[in-house]
Amino acid sequence: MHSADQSRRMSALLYCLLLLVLLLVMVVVAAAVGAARLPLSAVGQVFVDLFTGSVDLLKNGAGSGDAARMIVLDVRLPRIMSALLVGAGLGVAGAVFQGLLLNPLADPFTIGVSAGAAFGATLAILLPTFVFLPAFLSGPAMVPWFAFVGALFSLALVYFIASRRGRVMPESMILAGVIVASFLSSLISFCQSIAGEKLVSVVFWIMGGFSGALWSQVWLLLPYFLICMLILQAHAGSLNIMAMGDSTALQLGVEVYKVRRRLLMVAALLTAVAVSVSGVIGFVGLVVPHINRMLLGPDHRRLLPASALLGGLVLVAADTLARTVAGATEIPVGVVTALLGAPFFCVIFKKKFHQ
Amino acid sequence: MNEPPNSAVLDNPPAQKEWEVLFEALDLSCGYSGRTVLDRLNFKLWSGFFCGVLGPNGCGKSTLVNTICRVNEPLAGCMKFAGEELSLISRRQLAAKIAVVPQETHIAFPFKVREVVAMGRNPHLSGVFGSGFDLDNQKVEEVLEITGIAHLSEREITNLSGGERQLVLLARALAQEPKLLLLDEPTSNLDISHAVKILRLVKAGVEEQGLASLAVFHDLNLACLFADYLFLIKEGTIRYQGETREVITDEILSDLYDLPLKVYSPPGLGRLQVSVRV
Repeated sequence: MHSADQSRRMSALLYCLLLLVLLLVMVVVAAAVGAARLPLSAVGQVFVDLFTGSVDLLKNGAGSGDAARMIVLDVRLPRIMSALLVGAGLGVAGAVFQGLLLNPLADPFTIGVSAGAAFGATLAILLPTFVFLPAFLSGPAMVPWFAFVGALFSLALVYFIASRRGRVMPESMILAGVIVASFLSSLISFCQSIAGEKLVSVVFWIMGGFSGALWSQVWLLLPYFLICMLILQAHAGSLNIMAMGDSTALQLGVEVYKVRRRLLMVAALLTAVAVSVSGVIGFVGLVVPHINRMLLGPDHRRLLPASALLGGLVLVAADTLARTVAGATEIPVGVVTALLGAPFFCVIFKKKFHQ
Repeated sequence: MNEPPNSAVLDNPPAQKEWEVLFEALDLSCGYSGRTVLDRLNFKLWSGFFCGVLGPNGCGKSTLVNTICRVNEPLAGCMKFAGEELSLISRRQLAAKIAVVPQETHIAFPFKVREVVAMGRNPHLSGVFGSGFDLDNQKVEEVLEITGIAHLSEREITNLSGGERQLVLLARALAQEPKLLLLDEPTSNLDISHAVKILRLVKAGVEEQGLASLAVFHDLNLACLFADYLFLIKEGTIRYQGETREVITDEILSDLYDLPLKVYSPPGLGRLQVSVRV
């Protein structure tokens, strides 16, 4: 007879393997479809070359070669990889925030990080019109950096409001997040009202998207994401125990306040980077951990890796839809995730509620 | 009254056991950020003894429990565990020595009973990724059997009755393999059969494994039935303490609760019981 832990571990492993396979298939499909539809065989060949090492991405990609190869390696793959990383980040951050805030309705944006990033990006887009900025501070390349700083700023603000002698309580964190987010949202609205012709780019940035993603961006993100996820995974067991409430977790030997502070920072940093790269993409961080919790149970040691995989899968799929479904015009990916995510969430929520 | 006197009145007279001090509080003051709830307490807890805490609502019984397990830091004074200064012990090590059965816990996610019980193993696990729970532990199996909840082990904690849930929390505390077991009104929401079941299990641990136990009671009669020794708290101090038979008197209890109470000894019970004079 298999013991309880072994069989649970096996089923979690199988589930993750299934997600991984689906993710790989999705990546190949995503690389094939688009403005120029490429035959799967050609795309497959590119991936085979990639895995056997006959193409070195670090040495600036395809270089020579046929058109299909160039489209896949230089245009689509960096975009797919960005979506994958951001989706994985949002999935993990969502699972961590739900666990930390003891609230299954929390998501990576609950504590206002997204509003901060959006405000930062808005400033980056609008400031050059109103004040003189040195060249290195203006231009589209600066938008993610401004967004990141904005996200950090809002995180610091929320933490300052919610903490008391270095301790943060879940409820005060949610409240502080709501306050800061609505304040920053009104600032964003104000900026939009005076934005003039730049309004469109502000709105589009906030709605989220991956167009123009570059390999350089992916290489910047990858180590950062991996480190954040490793740190979060290392605390997954403590996160389980913290679901029992602060006193019980303390009595069970978990340094609750220290662990919470650390997890909050790392998950918020993960979110901040995700938002800075892609804009505000809702529902991935909310729905993905939910589905996994329903299928795998609430054990965060399994929930976090599974949420990374499912988050990546969902966002690659959503981004593929965003750039193909309306022909030549691209829909913001945040709109796709919200359009699909909200009804889907309603269905699972209703189902769960009626049990 | 600090030192336990010799007494042969009880069925299981504590005097026959060895009074081995496990825990000692010296001038311990407890409270919250400046508000002193309990002022300069001095008391001891002994291995193999079931101690009870009685007192009116708001007298600081739960504060005392929370201070001993260091959920609240003491305002002043010190605590010693087996001679060792308690504040110098790391939280993880402490959790392997002192376990708590809380009054009730709100659990946010539907963990399985086995998972909740296995969380009690946390203080005994090590390593970066080791924190959490170890479902296959022999001890987990053992306490599931002892507490009689093995048949619930795959159920979700959020779908259990109050009595079953309290048994799970007791099992988790036992899985910590503590030397001192604290219970904060563990039976206040339970029917009499579940209450007695919980207290019998604790009593068995105390008598068979030499656990020290400190339980906050609301029900005077349950306290009379199970506690060997009682601390009676009023107005921020331990006003009375002593073996159960000594401190359960009309005068002491009436003073403690400001209510005329009558102690009587039902024939054949061998324990005192308390009733209100109406």
